[in-house]
Amino acid sequence: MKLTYHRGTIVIKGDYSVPNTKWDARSGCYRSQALHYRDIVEYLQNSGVRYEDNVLDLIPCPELSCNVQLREYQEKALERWLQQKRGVVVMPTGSGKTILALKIIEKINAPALIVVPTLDLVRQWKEELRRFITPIGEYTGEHKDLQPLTVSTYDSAYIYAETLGNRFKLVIFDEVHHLPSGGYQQIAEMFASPFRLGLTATYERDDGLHEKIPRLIGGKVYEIHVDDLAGKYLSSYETRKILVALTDDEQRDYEQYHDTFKKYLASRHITLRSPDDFTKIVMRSGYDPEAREAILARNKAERIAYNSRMKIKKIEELLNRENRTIIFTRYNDMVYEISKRFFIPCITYRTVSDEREEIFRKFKEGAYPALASSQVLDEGIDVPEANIGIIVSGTGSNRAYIQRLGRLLRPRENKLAVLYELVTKDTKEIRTSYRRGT
Amino acid sequence: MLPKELLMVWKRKGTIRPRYLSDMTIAGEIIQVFTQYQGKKYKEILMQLEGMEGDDFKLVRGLGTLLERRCRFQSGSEVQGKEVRFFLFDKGFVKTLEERNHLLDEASLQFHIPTEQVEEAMFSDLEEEQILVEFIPPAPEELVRWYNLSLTQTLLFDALELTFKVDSNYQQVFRYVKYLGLMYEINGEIKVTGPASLFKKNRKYGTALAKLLPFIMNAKRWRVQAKIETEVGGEPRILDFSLDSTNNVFLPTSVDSAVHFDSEVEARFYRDFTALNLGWELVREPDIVKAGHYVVIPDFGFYKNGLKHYLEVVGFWTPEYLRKKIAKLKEAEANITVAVNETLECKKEDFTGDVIFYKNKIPVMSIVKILREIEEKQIEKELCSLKEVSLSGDVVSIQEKARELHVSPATLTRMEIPGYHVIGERFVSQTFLEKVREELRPFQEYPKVEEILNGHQLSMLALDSMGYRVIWDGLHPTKVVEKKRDTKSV
Repeated sequence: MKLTYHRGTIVIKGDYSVPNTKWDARSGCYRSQALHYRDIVEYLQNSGVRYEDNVLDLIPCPELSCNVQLREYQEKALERWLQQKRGVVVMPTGSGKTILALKIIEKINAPALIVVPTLDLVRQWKEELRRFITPIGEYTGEHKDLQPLTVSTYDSAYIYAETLGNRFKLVIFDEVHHLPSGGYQQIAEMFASPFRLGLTATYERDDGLHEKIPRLIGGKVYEIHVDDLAGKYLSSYETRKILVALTDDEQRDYEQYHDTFKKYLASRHITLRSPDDFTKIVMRSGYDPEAREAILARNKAERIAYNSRMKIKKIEELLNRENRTIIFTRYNDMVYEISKRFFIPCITYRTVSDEREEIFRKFKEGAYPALASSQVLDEGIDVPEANIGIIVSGTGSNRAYIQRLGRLLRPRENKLAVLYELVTKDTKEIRTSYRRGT
Repeated sequence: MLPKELLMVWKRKGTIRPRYLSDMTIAGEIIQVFTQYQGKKYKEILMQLEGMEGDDFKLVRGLGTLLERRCRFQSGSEVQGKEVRFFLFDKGFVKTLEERNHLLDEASLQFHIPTEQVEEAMFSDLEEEQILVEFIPPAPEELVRWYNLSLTQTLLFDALELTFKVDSNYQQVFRYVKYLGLMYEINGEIKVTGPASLFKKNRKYGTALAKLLPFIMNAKRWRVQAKIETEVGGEPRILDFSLDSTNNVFLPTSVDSAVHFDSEVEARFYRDFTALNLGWELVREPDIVKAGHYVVIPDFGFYKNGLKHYLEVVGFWTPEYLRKKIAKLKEAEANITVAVNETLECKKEDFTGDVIFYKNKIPVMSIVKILREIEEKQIEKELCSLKEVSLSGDVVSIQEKARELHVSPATLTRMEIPGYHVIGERFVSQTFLEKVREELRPFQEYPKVEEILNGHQLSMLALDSMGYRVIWDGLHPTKVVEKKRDTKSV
């Protein structure tokens, strides 16, 4: 038997039948998804079949060691994961997922690829990985540098899965709830890496797709909640909802746009029961001009509610130099508006990485007491020392909400962390916010 | 290729087909917008286009997206947006409006701009605040062909497999199948899939299949069929797409791709540059340039009317390679523009000559700017040495006259020659134009008009100078009418 890797698949030559493989008439051989590499090898070993294994072509790797101390719950998570060397660890943001990952890399002591959702996280992981005395690689749209420890994005890992899939023994998926969406699961399928780790603060997805994760990298092996850690390892926090009224003009426009939308629904006999119903109207808008007009009107109404002028007023009241404040908004133009009004540095998905870095650094050093951002900070970016959060617009998504919260939960003594949520009075926005059950 | 959300399709009885464009009017109108909005902000163009969207917003945005690739934008404000905003940010934040105005005044002093302009300058480097400084308009027909190809490629993003038949160009097609990491089966026709297509239906190879398409179309006769995964009424479906060379769809006549490239970046540059049709001949790995004891073979050579320029693309990562390359380029005895991958740790000073930094693709329009300047220098030089040009006859070819005078044709068209008009590639005398104009007066039907023009060796372009306007029906000219009085004419 001979096993080789071919662009995301394992080619098996020999006359012994192996599970999870299929005959490929195009190339005259048996073939399997690279995902099954570990199972195939185990099967062949258990069956006592002699085979030649050329699948992995690992990047030459020095001895990996780093000096990190695990907390009690991290030790426990490590122990659980090591039993199978695959699976997902669920821990709140700020509880040291990265530290756990570093320890796991040290234990496996072999080339590892870390897959993360954003370029910010790439940068942050590279920073953390410096604790190993080895060059850290980056494989993204911007850099293509392969090293024993390399960080990549889901997008790049997807595009280059065929060529990267046999170079690493361990693959770590940060924010692993992204893995089942769209084509990303093919990353896991095209990688032959026998050892797999998933990390997230929010395992469950609204669409139920998390059920696919066990097949791709293994099931949940350890889980701990915010409430189990708050106080001891994380600073405690409280949330305060502030109701803000629309100005008269805004109220009038809001109602007018909202009416247009409602009339469209009535004219087509549509009732909105779930987010899916709304998606259907969006799809209709591709060919039905009236549907498009209705969607546009609804978006305008929403933006009025989200971006109400009175919220700017409220921000003015809440800003205080004694605090470290982060302002979250949903729309970019709102971020720019806040930035222009208060001269608060802003970070959006368009901020170039140099500038982002500079802003983060100055925020960390305390030179900037506040910063404003649209959704780019949603996931796991290390923004330490913030004790006040202001959500100017909620997205109504459970996950985004938890993670924004998580950002404020940094261990710091005697710190009272407060998350303000500015919600517009008498609009649908209240409902989005209530839906989370806060 | 377009963003997926701009794809427009018809779905009928299990088949799918892009909504191909055959009407040049809308293409012409959008080209017009870009032409007219040179010197204006990107966001103004977007607003203007939004106004034209109507029910066809995907079409308008799709055409706009393609045209943006022929644009060069530049930051409008003289002071760097970044400097201004960091100056403002460095004060922490302001709360009251008084504090705010005070800081605005400070910034105004610091950057020597009026207070009102500080806010404007703050984000002047944002994409939508940039100013369109150059746009190279395609002919409407060219845009339509390009758009239709892009639609087809975008449709293929969701292809599970592609089956094709060609009557020529086999070698190139199969080379690219291999290059793109695809696999094929031959069974009368050729079915292309990817390695992992074996296990489940797989859209991962859609992008590669889209890239393969132009090479298939390079054959004289071709046919493609594809299985497209899409949603119908919220449910996933697999629909059939087919297209062949006899179809009445406007597609690019040939995609020049006989050249082999080291990287996707270079291949893309070649495609984008040749699409602009600027009269520069683009040659891959042209001549050998001496550089000290070594030679350099630049990646690209540009040639036009005796002018010569080179482009070297530096997109590699290893430090030794880079050091050697820089040393060689410094000694090179020719004009070489270097395009450097932004992520390399290089500075402008490391190289001599022009340096352009790029991220994912080489900015074609920046190269065009450099070539323009080279041409401009030649024209200025020739204009100085050229005192007077005398013409005789009704119609004179600019090319021939230029050859006779040993100057470039562009220089000649710059000269004001009394009694003559520049029409396309010819000088035409005023008296002759007037004569033809009278001759045309009784006729309106285009075929007749064309016949008369052809008889005098004039092209359609002459109509404009004579004060006539062409009325189109889709891609076909039908009538010729007089322009309104206020437009300039003979």
